[in-house]
Amino acid sequence: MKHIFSRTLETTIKKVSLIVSIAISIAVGAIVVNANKNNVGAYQNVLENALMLQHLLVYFVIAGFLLMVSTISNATGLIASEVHEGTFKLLAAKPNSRTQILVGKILGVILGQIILLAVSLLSYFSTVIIASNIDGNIIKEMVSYLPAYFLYGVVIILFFTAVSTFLSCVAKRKITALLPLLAIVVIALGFLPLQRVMTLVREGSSPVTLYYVDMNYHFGLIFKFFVELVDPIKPNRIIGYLTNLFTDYKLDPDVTRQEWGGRILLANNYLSATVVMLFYSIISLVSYVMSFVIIKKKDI
Amino acid sequence: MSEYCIELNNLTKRFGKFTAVDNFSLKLLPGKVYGIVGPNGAGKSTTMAMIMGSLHPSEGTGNVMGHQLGSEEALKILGYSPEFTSFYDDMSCVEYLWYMGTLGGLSNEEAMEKAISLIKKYDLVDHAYKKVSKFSTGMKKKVSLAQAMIHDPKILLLDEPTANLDPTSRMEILDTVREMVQERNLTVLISSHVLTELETVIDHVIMINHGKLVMDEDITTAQERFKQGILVVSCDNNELLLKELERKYKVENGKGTIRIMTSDVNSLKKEVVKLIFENDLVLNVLHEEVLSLDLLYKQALEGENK
Repeated sequence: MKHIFSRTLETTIKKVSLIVSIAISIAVGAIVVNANKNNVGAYQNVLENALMLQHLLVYFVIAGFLLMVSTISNATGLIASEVHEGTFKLLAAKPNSRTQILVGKILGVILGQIILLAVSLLSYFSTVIIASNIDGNIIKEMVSYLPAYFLYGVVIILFFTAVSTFLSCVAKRKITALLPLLAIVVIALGFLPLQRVMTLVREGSSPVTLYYVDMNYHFGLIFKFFVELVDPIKPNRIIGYLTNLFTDYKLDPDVTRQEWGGRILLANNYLSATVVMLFYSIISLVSYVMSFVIIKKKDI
Repeated sequence: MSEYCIELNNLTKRFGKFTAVDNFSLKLLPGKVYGIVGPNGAGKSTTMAMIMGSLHPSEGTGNVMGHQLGSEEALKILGYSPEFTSFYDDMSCVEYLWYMGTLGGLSNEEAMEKAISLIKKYDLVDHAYKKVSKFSTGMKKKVSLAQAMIHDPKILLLDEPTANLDPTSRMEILDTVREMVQERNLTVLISSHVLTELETVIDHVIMINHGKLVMDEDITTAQERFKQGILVVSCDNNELLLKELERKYKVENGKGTIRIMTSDVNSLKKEVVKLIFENDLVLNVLHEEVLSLDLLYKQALEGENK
């Protein structure tokens, strides 16, 4: 198992992945540095503006697109690629149970992704610290959110590895497992936020939201939960902004009010980060268990 | 404990409505080389894959030295070289063999030692640090054999080890198999379409068609059973001899020789000698033709299809 783990870890943190992660994180850092050049005024305002931009970019880019796409890309290939390319046949012909093979692969990809996440966050913060000319105390405040971002990233890695591994065990080719998950990421982090912005611009408010199925809202709640762990009082305005951003997806108000109205309001009251995390933990657990069941019975 | 090293009992494998292997039973004795032959799609590779546990039987059971098919204990005993071996693009020959050795349960040092010794044995030293995926088909087959041997298995399953190879590479691979069998007293189950080559290696023939067992016999017994009796003869006047023999026997006029088919070779021999003597002819060639595996295969399958 340990050799499969090492091999998977090695292929997960290959040179290309490292270079792409570092390059994108430095670019994000550069955006923050550049934006903060014009961020002047009272200390509290400068801090809030800097943190807001940082939260958004980390949420959408570093622990968003970058982390999700690389986790999905690596984990969907765990089994499907090896089966399709024929290498799994010899892997399974050596005296290791399929459970051991899968455990080695899953742990390898999880650790690999955690390393990539750490490298990305460190690259981002290094850029901000080195290139930024804003107050040292503000930079300290910005860096204090590193553990929160890291923990949120780990949650993302665990969830997307679970679902991707499950699809990798079911699918005959990597692409079959990869495409639906990529579509989800694009919808959650691309289409839904755009839709919210357009709704806000058009109608100025968001009376009804589709909380149950809005993954962006769910991930936003989880992100908010970890951000609040660092400092639950200070980022009120920031969190308020984030909450609005994550909850402005609007359906047809007339239809929704009739069909969903009461229940959506109820959901909004009860959907907390804990409930959402519990829900995604159950999905992850079921996905991991199903992956082991499927791989045991799979004909190669 | 059973005297057999592999026992398959009524194995059936279905893919949807298609039955690839149908109620197939087999018992292999240790230390023997078994050849599994049959046309394309007969079920040879499927049978091997079920022994390895990579395919799960739809029905039936089996064991490898008492261990369930596909179990870790069974896989420790088995070495497998599939018909099409795929390699990791980023691994050199020595890296690949080392990796397969460690997966086979060897320590890092043991795996490296074993990888290097197999590379030397299979004459791959000049290519040890080159990417295996870029190797020629013949070299890939050698690496595939080496990885099958790396954890010192007691039973070797070789699926079409000579397929798509030039004659020289084919002979090299078969020589290697012969050597391995002699050195380690291995049990080998080998499938091939090149039957004339297989008969130089195997002790026992297993014939399979449409997923069913057609023949499971010692190679000499099988040859004996299907022996039609062919006498090859040549003299200084083949035309005269042909004319005399045609009246009673089925004959083929070859290049300078006559092939005579009969069920009683001894009587035919006497008759030919008598004809030679009576007609004052000079006898150049007189021998009995051994039934080749190719012919045996053809006859067995013809019998099966009737």
